[in-house]
Amino acid sequence: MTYPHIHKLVLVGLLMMGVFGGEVVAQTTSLPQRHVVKIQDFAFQPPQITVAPGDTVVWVNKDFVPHFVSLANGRWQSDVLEEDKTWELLVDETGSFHYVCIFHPEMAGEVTAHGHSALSLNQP
Amino acid sequence: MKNLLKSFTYVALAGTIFFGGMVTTGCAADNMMKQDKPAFNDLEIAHIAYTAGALDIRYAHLALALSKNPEVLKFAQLMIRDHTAINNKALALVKKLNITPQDNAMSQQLVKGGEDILKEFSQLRGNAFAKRYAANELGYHKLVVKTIDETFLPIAQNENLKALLRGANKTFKVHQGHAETMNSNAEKL
Ligand SMILES: [Cu+2]
Repeated sequence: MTYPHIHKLVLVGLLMMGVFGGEVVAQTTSLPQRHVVKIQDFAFQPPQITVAPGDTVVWVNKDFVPHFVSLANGRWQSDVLEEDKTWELLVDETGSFHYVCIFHPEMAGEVTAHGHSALSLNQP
Repeated sequence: MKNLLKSFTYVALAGTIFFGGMVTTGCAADNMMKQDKPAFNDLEIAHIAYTAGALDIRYAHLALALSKNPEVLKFAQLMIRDHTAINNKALALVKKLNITPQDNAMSQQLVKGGEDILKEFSQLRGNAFAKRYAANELGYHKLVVKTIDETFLPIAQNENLKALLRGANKTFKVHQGHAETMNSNAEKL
């Protein structure tokens, strides 16, 4: 499962690590953050999060049964998440993204991304 | 209507299975107060819960083999996935506690009743199967949810078993919700 944003992730990662030079990294105003969404009792907690592009969202399944996170249009999709398994998504664009659990479609959540993308900030 | 009646028959049958043992001794809560010995011990509860889960998995496999109804197929896949996860968790707990679940009259009646239902399912095709499967799943989950909440949880002793039953029942309540939707759609077929 290779998505275009994966390649960008690697690029962003390299930029963050200063592979392309210290000056470039110095221009980054805020470090990317990790946001955790717990899947518990058949709900995403919190159901809505706001992130900046370049941040990572981590879903962790605390239920007994598997869940399967997917963006409504299918562009992001986790693996089958069994109990205590996590799945990470590096957000590489702005917008409001509704997602559901494919196995239990009544479970829904939203990721809202706004602000400058780490990628564009780092571009020389 | 015929299907509906059949599902009530199943519920009545299963009701006898689940609660029959207690008719003579009173309800579980009374039991706790009047007698030292509850209707089921932990090892029996574990056995019944596992047996019920395994039965729903068997219904689901048959549904995958016989039905073409997308909602039935999706529901059956969910049952296999979720009940397998929970039964595996139960097996892990059994191993951790080094215990052996105890076969008992209720487990045996569940298996027997389940086999009758499987036999009946195997004769049905198309909408008749979908209706019957949906009604049975609704009846089954209603009963399981109620039995865990009202009979097993009040008398279970081991904290690990109680936690497993509580967690599992959250899942079964979600399944009941899905089954309600599937059943009301199947009734329109
Ligand atoms: Cu789910």
